[in-house]
Amino acid sequence: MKNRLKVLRAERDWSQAELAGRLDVSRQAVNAIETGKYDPSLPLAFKIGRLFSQPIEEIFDDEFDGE
Amino acid sequence: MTDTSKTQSPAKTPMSPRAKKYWLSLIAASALGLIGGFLIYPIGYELGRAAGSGEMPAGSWFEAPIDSTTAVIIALIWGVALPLLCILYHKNVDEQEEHAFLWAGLIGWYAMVIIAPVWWVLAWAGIWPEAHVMGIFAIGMIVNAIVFSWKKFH
Repeated sequence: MKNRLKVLRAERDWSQAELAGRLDVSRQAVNAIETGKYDPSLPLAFKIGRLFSQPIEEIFDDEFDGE
Repeated sequence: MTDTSKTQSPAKTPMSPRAKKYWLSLIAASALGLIGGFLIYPIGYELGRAAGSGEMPAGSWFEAPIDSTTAVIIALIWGVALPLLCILYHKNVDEQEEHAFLWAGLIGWYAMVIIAPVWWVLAWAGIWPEAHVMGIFAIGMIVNAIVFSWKKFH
């Protein structure tokens, strides 16, 4: 799943390790989510949304076009 | 939503309770592995020396004697301490690593399920040497480790 996590992190000048600390996950988890290799659970997605003060659908894109 | 992004840098905050327990489980498991390794090292060394000097064939390592105290300690480490540490690990591991672990477990299981009967039936026909439980276990562990590393770090 595509997401804007890397952009949002860069806007705050955070390293992956720093974001990982804020989310209480490993740095590898942040990297896997950013590169689309791992889709976070709903609880973690909500946590990410709260951290960046944005709704989940503003951060993650499931590429559903409505058809 | 409230903007929580301007809080103190986590780089300066202490490790979370979850992360502490996670690392405790890994460090304790490693320490127990080292203890087991140190206990079995003299036996392995002696077997290696015997195999090297031709006193015994290398294939007979697992049939070599081991004293009962060492065997019981290693069995307690693997059979009691390790499962308890596994519970601590799985309660505190982050979800991406758990995901990697689950896939590694599944593929490792398939490796054993596929290889064990193949090896056994070929050995039955006399085509391959007799199937060895520790050999199959080792294959499962190696496959598990490869898949885990791929899913966790790739």
